[in-house]
Amino acid sequence: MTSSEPDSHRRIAEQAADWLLTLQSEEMTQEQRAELVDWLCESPQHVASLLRICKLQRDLARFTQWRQIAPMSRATPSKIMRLVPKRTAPSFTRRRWGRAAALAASVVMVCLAGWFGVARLGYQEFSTQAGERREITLADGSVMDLSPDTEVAVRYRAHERSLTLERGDAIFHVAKDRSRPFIVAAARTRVRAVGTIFRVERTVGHVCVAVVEGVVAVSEEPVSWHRSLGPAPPLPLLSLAANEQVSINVSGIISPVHWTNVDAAGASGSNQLTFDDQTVADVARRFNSHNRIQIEISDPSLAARRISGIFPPDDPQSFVAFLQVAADVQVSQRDSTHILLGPPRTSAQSSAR
Amino acid sequence: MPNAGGSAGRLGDWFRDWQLPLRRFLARRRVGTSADIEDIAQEVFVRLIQYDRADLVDHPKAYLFKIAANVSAEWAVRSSRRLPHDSAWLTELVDAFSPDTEVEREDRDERTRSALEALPPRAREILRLHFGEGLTHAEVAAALGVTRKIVKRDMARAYAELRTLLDFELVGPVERQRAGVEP
Repeated sequence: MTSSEPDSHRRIAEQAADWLLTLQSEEMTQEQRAELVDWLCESPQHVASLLRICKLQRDLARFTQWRQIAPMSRATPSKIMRLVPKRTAPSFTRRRWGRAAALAASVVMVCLAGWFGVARLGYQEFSTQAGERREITLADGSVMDLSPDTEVAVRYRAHERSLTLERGDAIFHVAKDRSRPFIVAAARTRVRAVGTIFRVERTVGHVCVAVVEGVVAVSEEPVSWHRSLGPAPPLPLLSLAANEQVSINVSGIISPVHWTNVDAAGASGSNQLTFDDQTVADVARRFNSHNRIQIEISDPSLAARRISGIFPPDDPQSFVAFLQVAADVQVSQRDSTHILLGPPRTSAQSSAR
Repeated sequence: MPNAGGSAGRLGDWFRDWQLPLRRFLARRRVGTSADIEDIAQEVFVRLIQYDRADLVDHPKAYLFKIAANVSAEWAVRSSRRLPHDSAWLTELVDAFSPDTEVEREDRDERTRSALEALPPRAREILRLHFGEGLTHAEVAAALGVTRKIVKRDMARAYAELRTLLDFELVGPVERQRAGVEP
């Protein structure tokens, strides 16, 4: 009963797969439905094959190692990549008009969808203040870890989970739901995931995206796009896997994808500040957003120096101690809430603890 | 019973509709033992051909779902009374419907991974974009610079290829095991 020739097995599987996809993706015509019924009633092998393909699809949807499956080589990002498409000079060709018309149509659709969706919008805002940290569980079971001084707007719709990082830094543990992609917008950057853990940080002029687990797709809204026009059309995607990170500046230039140790930060419940080749000024800023004790740097060459490391966010002293060892800095405490880092004064090392 | 408006199911709903009640049922009845997907399919087939064709054509999904759910349910009851005959298929089917253990998942993932690696690069890429990155068929089409129709065709081929790879890996050990266990 199980013995089917490989060839016919393969052929039936192909038909079954085609039917499954048709069932899932299209409104079927009377003709198609009749054809499906005839096909199913032709042989129990056909029914079995359809059941098997269902199971296969389920297994693929639950497969946890997609990030180990190498993308086809065409997708390898170059060192520096421009996400914003180059503005091409040529005048409107027929194709462009077609695209503009399609765009207009999609804008109308989006507006209509927005219009009808208004009543059901689940809109919420969450924010933290300096020194405050929050973990928020969303309606679908996804969890956000908000760093201090962070604001996120959450808008859940039937077909997508859309979030906006207004400012700050957050880690998103996304609950799997293939039918509703999880999209985080930060400035013009869009990060899209299905079920994964990633971190988005928004600072002035930069958006940084780092992936802890799974894969996310990063895209960019065109500079000329205005929000009132609705969601921007899709632009070239860059995919990021676990331990990869990119930083994107205002003009859409992204820095090379490189390894970082966000993993350590994510795994230990995000209770760490992780820095990978960042300037001392940036690091100090991060500490300052987490603490009442403020670090000030009076030495420009120290401020520009690049460091890597993992620190407890509520312990700026550990960072200061690190700098004392790594760079010969002069530490002084102005008052109870200000630590001043100055240029090395070769002789004296004032003890300011 | 079927309403004339018959909304034919939104994107991807069919499978969910189809399997959720089945999963709940199987979970409730605690089907420890197993049957074979071939046998279930056989039973579904037999019932399917007893229905009026016109009814089936009106609502193929609904009927298919109902029949399959009934058959699996009855199967669960029946097999709990009989000597369990070993078959990886329903065990797997049941597994697929219940939260699985770490070991089971690793095992399944491992098989899926090696099968994926045996696929032609393009087929693998389509599956990766869709399942791994969550792109819709239309987005996959855009990413690869082909039409949606081609994506659907290639996706179906990829499923079939993968199914074939997995089945032929599976058939051997299962058959052997069964020969040893059968009374």
